[in-house]
Amino acid sequence: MTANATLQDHTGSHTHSPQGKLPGDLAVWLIILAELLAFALLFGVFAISRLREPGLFAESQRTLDASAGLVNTLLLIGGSWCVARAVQAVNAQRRRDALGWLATAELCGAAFVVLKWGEYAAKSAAGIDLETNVFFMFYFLLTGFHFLHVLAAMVFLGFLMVLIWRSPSPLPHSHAVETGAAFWHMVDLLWIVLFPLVYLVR
Amino acid sequence: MNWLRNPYNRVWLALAAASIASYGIGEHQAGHSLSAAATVLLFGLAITKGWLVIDVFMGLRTAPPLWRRLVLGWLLVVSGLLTALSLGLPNG
Repeated sequence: MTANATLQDHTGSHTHSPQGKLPGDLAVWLIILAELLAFALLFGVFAISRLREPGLFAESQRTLDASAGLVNTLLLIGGSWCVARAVQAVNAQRRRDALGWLATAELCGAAFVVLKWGEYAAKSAAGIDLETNVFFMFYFLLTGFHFLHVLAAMVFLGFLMVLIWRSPSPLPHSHAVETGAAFWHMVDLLWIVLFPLVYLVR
Repeated sequence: MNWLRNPYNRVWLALAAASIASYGIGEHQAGHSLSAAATVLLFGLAITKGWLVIDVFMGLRTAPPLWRRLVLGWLLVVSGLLTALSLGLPNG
């Protein structure tokens, strides 16, 4: 599949698609809806289980590093901002800027992965895993499932960087970049709910 | 300031500020249960942040209304239910 075939020709300086058009591909939006529903179920079951064992959940939650959770939140939000600016840059025909914004988003994603992996390693060193108790089962399931989505979003952005790098001038585009951006923003949106639910509320 | 004229920059700043505020609320009196007000505030901030991401970063404000309603509806229903379930916690 060539860059020309993948990217729809669509130029302009606006920040998003014109009124009434869904930014990006319909297929990815259907995937986004499915992912949102899957996470909603997990969030709900977590909150119901916490009602049944509030003491255990509060005690286990105290062992989490909320400051690492905050830094991870800032990294995902920063990544979302960079991806939105990349879409803007592509629409304004600024290839170098678009690549720079996407590369910065990738760095945010990589920092998130390293930090989260460090949290998992610390828990593992303390002898805590999925089977320790019901809180940690949910902690590893929820954050692990989300972690995999961050990795997928990073692969998506990497693919977009190659696409933009190889596209002829003037930059055709927007559609593929908006599609990748929508997926990244979903990963950010999920963490926005996950952070208070798992790390802060008790 | 010119930099602030870009809506994405403003939203990024608002999201970062709301995240730091959430951390401050959550970590206030760490080790104790959160008050009902703190719980509502935390999920209220999550809704505000999510709304900004959906409308501005995702660009659904200018998308077909059905899609905006679906994603915003998810945010409101999920956050509302989680708030109600969290308020049922002891001293919550």
